[in-house]
Amino acid sequence: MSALLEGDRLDKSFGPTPALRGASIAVEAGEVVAIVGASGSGKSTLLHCLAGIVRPDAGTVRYGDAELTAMADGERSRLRRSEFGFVFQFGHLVPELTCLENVALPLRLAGIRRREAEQRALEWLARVEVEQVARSLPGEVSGGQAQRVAVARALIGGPSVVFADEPTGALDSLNGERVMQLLTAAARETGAAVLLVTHEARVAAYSDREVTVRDGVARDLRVLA
Amino acid sequence: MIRTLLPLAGAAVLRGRDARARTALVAVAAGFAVALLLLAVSVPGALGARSARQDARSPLVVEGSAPLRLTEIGITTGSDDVSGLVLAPATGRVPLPPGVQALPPSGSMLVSTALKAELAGPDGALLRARLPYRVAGTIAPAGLLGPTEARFVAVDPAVAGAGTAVGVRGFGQAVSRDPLDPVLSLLVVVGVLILLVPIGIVVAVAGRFGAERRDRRLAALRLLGLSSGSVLVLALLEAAVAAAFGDVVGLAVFAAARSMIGSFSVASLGVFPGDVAPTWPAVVLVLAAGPLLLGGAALAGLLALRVEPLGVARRAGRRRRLVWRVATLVLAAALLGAGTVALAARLGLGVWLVGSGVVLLLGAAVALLPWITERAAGALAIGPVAWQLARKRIRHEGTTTGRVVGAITAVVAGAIALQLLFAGLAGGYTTDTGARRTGTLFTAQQERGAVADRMRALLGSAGTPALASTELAVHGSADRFVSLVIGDCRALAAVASVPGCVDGSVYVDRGGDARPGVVLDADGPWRVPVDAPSVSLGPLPDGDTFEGVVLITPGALPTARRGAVTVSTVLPTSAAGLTRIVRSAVAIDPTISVRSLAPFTLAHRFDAVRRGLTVGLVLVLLLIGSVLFVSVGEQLRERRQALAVLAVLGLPRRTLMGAILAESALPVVVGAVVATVTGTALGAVLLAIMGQPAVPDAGVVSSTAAVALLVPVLVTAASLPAAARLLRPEHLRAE
Ligand SMILES: Nc1ncnc2c1ncn2[C@@H]1O[C@H](COP(=O)(O)OP(=O)(O)OP(=O)(O)O)[C@@H](O)[C@H]1O
Ligand SMILES: [Mg+2]
Repeated sequence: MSALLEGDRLDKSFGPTPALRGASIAVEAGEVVAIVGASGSGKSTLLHCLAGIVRPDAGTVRYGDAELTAMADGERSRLRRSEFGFVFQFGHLVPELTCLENVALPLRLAGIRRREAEQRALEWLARVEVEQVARSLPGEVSGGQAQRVAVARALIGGPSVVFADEPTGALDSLNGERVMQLLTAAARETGAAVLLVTHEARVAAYSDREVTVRDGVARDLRVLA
Repeated sequence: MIRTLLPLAGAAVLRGRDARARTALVAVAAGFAVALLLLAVSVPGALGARSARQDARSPLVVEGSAPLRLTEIGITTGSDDVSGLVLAPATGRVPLPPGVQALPPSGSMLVSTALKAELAGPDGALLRARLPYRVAGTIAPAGLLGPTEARFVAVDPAVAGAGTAVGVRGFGQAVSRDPLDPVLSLLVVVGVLILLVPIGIVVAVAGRFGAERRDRRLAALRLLGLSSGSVLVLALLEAAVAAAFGDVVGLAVFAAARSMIGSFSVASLGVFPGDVAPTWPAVVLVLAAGPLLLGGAALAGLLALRVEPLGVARRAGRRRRLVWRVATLVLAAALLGAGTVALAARLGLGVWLVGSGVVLLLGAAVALLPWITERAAGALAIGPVAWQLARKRIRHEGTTTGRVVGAITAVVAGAIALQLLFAGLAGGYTTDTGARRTGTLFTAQQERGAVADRMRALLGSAGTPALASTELAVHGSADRFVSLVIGDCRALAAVASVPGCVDGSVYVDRGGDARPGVVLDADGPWRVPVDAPSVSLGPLPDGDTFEGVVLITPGALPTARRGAVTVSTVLPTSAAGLTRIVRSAVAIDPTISVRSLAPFTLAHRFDAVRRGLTVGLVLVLLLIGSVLFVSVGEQLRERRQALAVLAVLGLPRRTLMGAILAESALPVVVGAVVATVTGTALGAVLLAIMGQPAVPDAGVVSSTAAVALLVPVLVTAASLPAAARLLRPEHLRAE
């Protein structure tokens, strides 16, 4: 059975600094994979390459039958819009839009009418327990609330893969745990795979399996096998 | 896609206090530009409307019998011009001038509102004496050139026989007139450009406010799958939304200015608000200019960036190239030179050459500014820590402050140039009018010599000699004429030395056909006595001069043989009984012309323009000041963390404040120098084009530069408290 998302021998350098050196990873549909490793080992870079945000210097990224590394910017953008969801350390919410509008945004970009999009966004906000901030701007809500809004926004479009880079990094442990619970529960329910970068063991515990990155090389037991 | 992007753009422009403040500023800046442009493109229409009004009321003159006889009368009292018609209706259907529903009864007149006010005013006595008619109503706007025009339409059958009366069968004909003086249109074009260039820069700078926030927003949207093209479209939409507000503000300002324009007059030339109507294509063009400019600024900003989902990166650095700036400067000089030549040849093309030269010159000055500032920062290598910090930033960032200062530079350079120009023109227009004295000039043209004699006697009785003049043909020739000046010995003595004068004496100021012994046609041949002494005639009181003239006393040639004569005298405006004399003179001849004379005309006509210019300058500087204030605040906020780090590391607050000050001070000082040099040079060029001595007035230059320097100084002072607050270590915490 072939993987949903697969990175094969990825290389990436920033100037003289190598960030990835032949990293390989495979993610099955619906599984939650934690990418762990020391600071500066290349976890974020790997995630960005897999999501098509950063183009690797060498190696290929495959999503289903499509090769991300061969795609033009427009195609990768479309893929992000329709297939991927993102939760980063700082929410990356659009500061000028209310939380509700932020959550509804992926649906709006997919061409869904505003009323319906906002109706569904409200349901998602309720699901991640922050319907009270629907009308607030991101600058007016707490870090934990912002991350929950980001989780709702990542999942509302029914993505196949959610990319999460230190989603709890800026939160206290209690809040962090709750956000992880909400994220993984919602992902399992919708059948989305989650690629989770973290250096906290407690967070990694929410995953089905862990992939360790060391000095730009990913030890994905499944790929090695 | 646009349906999704438009609400996003709207939110970006209108959500939150900061965004609204930014948008308001952009809208005001763009609005000013739009209003100014709308006014500028209305000028041709307003001039056209004025010509049309003039055409509509110009009489259709006919020979022989006519339903109406009229004479056109001009009166100047003090500084006000009054004009009007005195009508003598004959039988039949009488044509009516525009603005007149029905002729007033004989002995009364219709007046414009402006004239009504003047007649009732404190200086109205002379006017009332000159216009001894009962006011029977008002002239409708259709009969006026502008709302402030002082005009009358009187009915007085006595004018029918006056020498200046003509038969008229109607009103309304195209009068051929010279195209607008290129120099005058140059003034308008240059004035508008000089205000527009800095406003354009300000709009562009204001359009880049909140760029850092916008970058974050666009990056977040890229992450959600917006393509780089859509992000560009979104940025353009944001600019367009802001510009749309600018258009609304601009239309409002234009409407306000238009309604006020009726009560504002230059050289007693007012404009009806209804005549200030730009054509639709012009309006569409102007309204499109704002979005284009803001969109262009946004585009230029974005093309230098790569908006990626993880953030925004600056594209590989552009070097500040001197070549282009110098080339622009050279091109500007060439255009100004070519324009000067073309204008000297009175080619309309010259206006456009000089106009583009002005824009390029200001643009080159603004473009040179950061280069000079960088060099200056590089050169001044020693100094306190604060200065070293400021130097670093100036050399590496080319700050927004620098760009705003560019706008100030452009406006100050332009203002200096215009102030110099008007100061020079005012000086040039304080010219000798040729009149020998101050007073009120009376001139009456008389067909009938007897009336002329009565007039001469009346005017002469006021204590000032009155002279009459006429022209007689040389006997036997059709096209050679000799001027005759008629006056009694006392009157002649006032203008020439006439020894041994008795009634009957004749003198000759030789020149042309004027010589003793010449035979003239005076209702039959009349020979100038062969022994007529030669004299030299100075200018007449009204400034008239002659080359060759025969001077006669009344006894030398019978009244009836003198033909149509013009009687004139100048009475001191303060003369006792002046109004009584005017009343008597009008009784003798209702067409007599009354005109204030002064040996020198001060250039009052430019006062209103200069006042307007100063108001415009202050408004533009206020606008720039507020843009500068916002931009300084934005920069401080963007840098708050870096500044806080320095504060935590123990750099004294005083040093940091010094660095912030020095960072704005250097561009400001450089800008002031560049503005002064550019403005003075431009002013000199414009003065030369106007044919004035191109010597800049140091007072004008320094006072304008000082006013302009005040803006950045005040703004920086006003932003220091905010800076001090930001420099506290607690701001180390990230947002
Ligand atoms: N944009 C960039 N420019 C230059 N170097 C970069 C950039 N991004 C990452 N690097 C370098 O690449 C290497 C891997 O970085 P990466 O961010 O992937 O590490 P990470 O494992 O996510 O670390 P952390 O746990 O601290 O987030 C590091 O040495 C880093 O300095
Ligand atoms: Mg990382």
